[in-house]
Amino acid sequence: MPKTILIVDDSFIMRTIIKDIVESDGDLSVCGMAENGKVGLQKVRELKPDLVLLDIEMPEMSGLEMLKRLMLVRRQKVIIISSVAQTGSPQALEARRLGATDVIAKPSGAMSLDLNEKKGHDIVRAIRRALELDAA
Amino acid sequence: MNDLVETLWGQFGVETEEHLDLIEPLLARAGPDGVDADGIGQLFRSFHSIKGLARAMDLLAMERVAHQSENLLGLVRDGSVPLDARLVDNLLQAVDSLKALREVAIATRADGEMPDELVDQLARMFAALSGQPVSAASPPPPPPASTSAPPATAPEPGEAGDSSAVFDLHEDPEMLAIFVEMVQTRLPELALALDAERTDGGALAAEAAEAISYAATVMEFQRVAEDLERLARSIPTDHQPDAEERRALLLQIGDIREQMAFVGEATGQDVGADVLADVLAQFIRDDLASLIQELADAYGHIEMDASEGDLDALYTDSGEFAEVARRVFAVVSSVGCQSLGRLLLLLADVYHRVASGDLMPAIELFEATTPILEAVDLRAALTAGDPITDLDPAVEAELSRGFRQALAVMSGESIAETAGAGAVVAGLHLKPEMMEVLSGDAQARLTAALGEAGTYAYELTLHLESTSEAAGNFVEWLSTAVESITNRTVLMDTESWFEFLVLAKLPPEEMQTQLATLDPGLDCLKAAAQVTAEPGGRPLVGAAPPPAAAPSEPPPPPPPAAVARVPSGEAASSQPAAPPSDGEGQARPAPARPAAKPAVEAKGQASSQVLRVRSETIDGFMSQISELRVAVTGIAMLNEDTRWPTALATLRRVIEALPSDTQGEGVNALQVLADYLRQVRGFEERLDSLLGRLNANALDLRVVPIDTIFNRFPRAVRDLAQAQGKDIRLVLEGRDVRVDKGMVELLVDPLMHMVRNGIDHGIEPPDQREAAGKPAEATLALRAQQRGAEVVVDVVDDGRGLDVDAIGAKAVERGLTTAAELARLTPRQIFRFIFAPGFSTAKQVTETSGRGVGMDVVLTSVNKLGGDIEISSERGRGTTITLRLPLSAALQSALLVEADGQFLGIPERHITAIATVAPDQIQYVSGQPAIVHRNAFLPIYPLGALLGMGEAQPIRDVRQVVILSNGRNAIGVAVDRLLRRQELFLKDLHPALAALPAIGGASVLGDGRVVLVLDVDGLIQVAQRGAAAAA
Repeated sequence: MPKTILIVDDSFIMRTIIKDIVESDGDLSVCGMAENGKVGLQKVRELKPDLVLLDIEMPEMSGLEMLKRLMLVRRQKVIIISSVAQTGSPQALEARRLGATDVIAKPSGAMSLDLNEKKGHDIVRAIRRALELDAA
Repeated sequence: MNDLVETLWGQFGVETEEHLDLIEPLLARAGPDGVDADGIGQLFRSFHSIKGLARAMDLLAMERVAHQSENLLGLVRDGSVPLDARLVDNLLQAVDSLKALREVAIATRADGEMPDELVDQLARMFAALSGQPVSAASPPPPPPASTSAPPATAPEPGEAGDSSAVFDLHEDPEMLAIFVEMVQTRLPELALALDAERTDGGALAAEAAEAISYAATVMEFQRVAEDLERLARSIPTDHQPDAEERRALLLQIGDIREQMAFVGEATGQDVGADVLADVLAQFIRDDLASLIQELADAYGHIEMDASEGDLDALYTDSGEFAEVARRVFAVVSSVGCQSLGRLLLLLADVYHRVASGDLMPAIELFEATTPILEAVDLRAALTAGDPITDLDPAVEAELSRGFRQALAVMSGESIAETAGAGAVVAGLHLKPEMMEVLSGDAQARLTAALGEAGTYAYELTLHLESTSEAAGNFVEWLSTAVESITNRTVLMDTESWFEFLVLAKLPPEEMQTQLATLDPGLDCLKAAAQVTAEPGGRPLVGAAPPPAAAPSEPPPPPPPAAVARVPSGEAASSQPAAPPSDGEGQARPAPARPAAKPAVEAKGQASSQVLRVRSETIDGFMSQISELRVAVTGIAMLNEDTRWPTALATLRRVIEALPSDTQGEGVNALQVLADYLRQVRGFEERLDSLLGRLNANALDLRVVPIDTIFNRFPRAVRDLAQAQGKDIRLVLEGRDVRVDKGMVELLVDPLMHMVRNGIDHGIEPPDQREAAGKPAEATLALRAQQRGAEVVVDVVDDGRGLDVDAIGAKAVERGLTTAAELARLTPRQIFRFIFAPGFSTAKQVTETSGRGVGMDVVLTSVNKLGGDIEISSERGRGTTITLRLPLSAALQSALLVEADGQFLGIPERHITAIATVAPDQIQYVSGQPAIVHRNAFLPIYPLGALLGMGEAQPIRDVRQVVILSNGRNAIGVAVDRLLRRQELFLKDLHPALAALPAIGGASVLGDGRVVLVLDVDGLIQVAQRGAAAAA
């Protein structure tokens, strides 16, 4: 069984790009997507994904707010993928405090069309590490 | 970018379908208490999502319809209006319209016609119900092109304060308050586990942990509950914990305190975390000292790796160090040292990235780490017995700044000089929000590029989540014509926009011209400015989006959540800012809601658990497996080839005949070949078994819950009931019975037909029911079960039942039986006359049934698939129609043969033997060619001729004959070629084909070739009829 991944990002284009990245690895499958933290929480309850890929800046409920709530409910593996999660940024630290498994900065802003090119490999590797899959 | 656009459309199709499929059954179930709060929330969100998806694809009509529906549901969710029949009707109309528009959009990639009347109707309804003069004319949120800054639209109705209503920490604020109060008093007791002075400390702490755990379970904070439970179990109650145990307890308590702090932050209440810190601080001096020692040791490893130049070890040890830092953070925070905690988090973040290869470590990093570790080192104070004191925030800021500077140097960027709000980078004034998303690399690139003459920097605010031509132009342009440095999300009115920072070798005037060409209607571009040394730069188009500006006309509070961003002028300070607010701070209290109802019902939504894959994808996958099978069979045949071993044996002989001094080499080579062959055989066997498993797994992919069919019924039943003035409660049971996807296609028509029949003929109008002493509301049930290798679906109604006498009389009248024979038949047998072609007892023909066609077709197609239908009925009490289908109906193991150029599939279960027949074995019995098979004459027919595809010609040469049996009779059919055995998926049978007596279905091979699958029963009848006619 492939591991299930939930993608939470407010941009439709980014969701699609991230989905492609995840699904380039045969051991991973995207079980759902959400456009904000609120819908994200709902989907986590429904789908019980193995891992959540979470953006920070989103309308209605931010990724950090979602993370905070999620961590009370589930021992959930969460990797933050966000443009405001640059090394040492307040948001990155907050994500670490809230127990994010890993934090990855989008390379060129919220809409990083080059995400796959620049970070695709890192993202897949981080997911595999978080899920304790053998290094591909 | 075309691939991307294609993918977007694909995704659009899948996601909208998912939502529409969720909405329809929920709405159809609506009644006085049909849809609970969860259901309403679900409906609201689904319409909301459809709106967003439509907007993304630039489908204005769909967006409007979804928007108006969402508005109406917002009222329902707030509790201001009930979800009554009229509202449901309107929403169902909206669903129909959305479906139609979706089809148009997918087919044409363009917006369908705006259903003005419907939009108007929905808007009027909203206005009437809400008492708000919202006119239909008011456009939905993203207004078309406007040259000015994005308008601050009032929050959408039902949208505001939503986060607290649906996803508050807990649905019931009172319960939450009780929980917080309880935690506040008992959380500090956990510290007693580490009180070495008391003998009963462990027992008390364990008791407190269990009590809080229980309360957390009630609150559905499962994770907290589990952690507390674990803590309760790890506290030794019969002895004082040793050093090792103390440390484990301390770390656990630290974690729990963190989680409780989240509750405190979300509720704004004190959860006793501070008191816990004070109590804990008294007991854990030694433990903390040893943890800090561990941190220092972990860092020591990194330093050693660096001095030895062992990069691999350095990565591993950095990860280790980051983990320890994160743990020490939780503990120092739990004794109240927040500043130290933040520094430790900073270390954890940075070293984590070093470990993952994201950040190259350098000497500057190590130099900056040492002072932080020194500040964190409380060991001297701890051993001296001084109070544990946090770092002075000013010192923290200084250390943190030093560390960040080191990071900046490492990524080679020039250090930004902070200048008021924002920073000056490479001579450009960038606003703080932009600085936040500027990675080190991007900053370096900016500095380098601006050194070149003729390069200008621009800031563009764009809306790209759409497929309009302009959006496509921009995406293309951003990745080719200019250099995009970074961009950030600008949240406006629950919509995400992007503000790009780009570099271009274009002076402002030319840029202005280019922008005008790219997006003449200003569909996507909201603002553009040249970035200069001055704050705000030089505007080219529109104005920069206003910061949290109040709209000129006072909209209902609260202000658009999106704009409330954290002013991050202090981005450089290490203060972990509160996460960007989502407006919840000012949210009004949640409306009174019924007490939490566990989401059991939601679990019944089998469909929500299902991952959607386009069926073509799976079919393609299956046919690739078939091709793979052919390839593997090819390898197997090569391996079986006897020439290989023979050739090897020959070689061996030849080599042995050689002079002994040259033999050795040949023997070795021979050995290699033999080994090789053996290994290939081994691999082939493995491949074969793997392929078997792959095939089985792939078949599993096609399995779906029967709910995917059942989902269609609530709507159909509701519509029919309404049209006929009947009152019907639909009960669906066994929704999670899982069947092959092909089965779904095969079942849906027969079931729909039976349900319609039941409603048209079986269920009485309410007045008649009452007169008969029955409840006015009729019940119609669909019950699915899997029994052995069959799927059984009962369609049960409690209507008037079948009239045996009327059916009998009609059967006699139509000459289907005689009066005398009728008297001997059981009711069950008489009911079967319903299946006779053209049989109908209905006095009036309704729109959907009573036309006398149908039940016969239904039975025929079910029979062809190896299934059956049975009827039982009791006069006045109701009717049960039971449909049985073999689970394998959709997937037939068949033998592929070729006859007269056509590929045909013969279901394996009907094949008793295959014979090779020479002409001299054929005998003629009354002119019919036959062979002797199992001591009896077996008639032989050329298959093509039997199906009317070719001329009947005498069998003149050796032919393959497939012997078929339907249990009563057997025949042999001569074919031109036997191909192979294959699993065939039956496709939904075309009516024209269904009418052919000998054809049971059609399937498609991997290469796209169509195969007709024989209906052996029918084929045998055709053969016998032909023989009878000839005689």
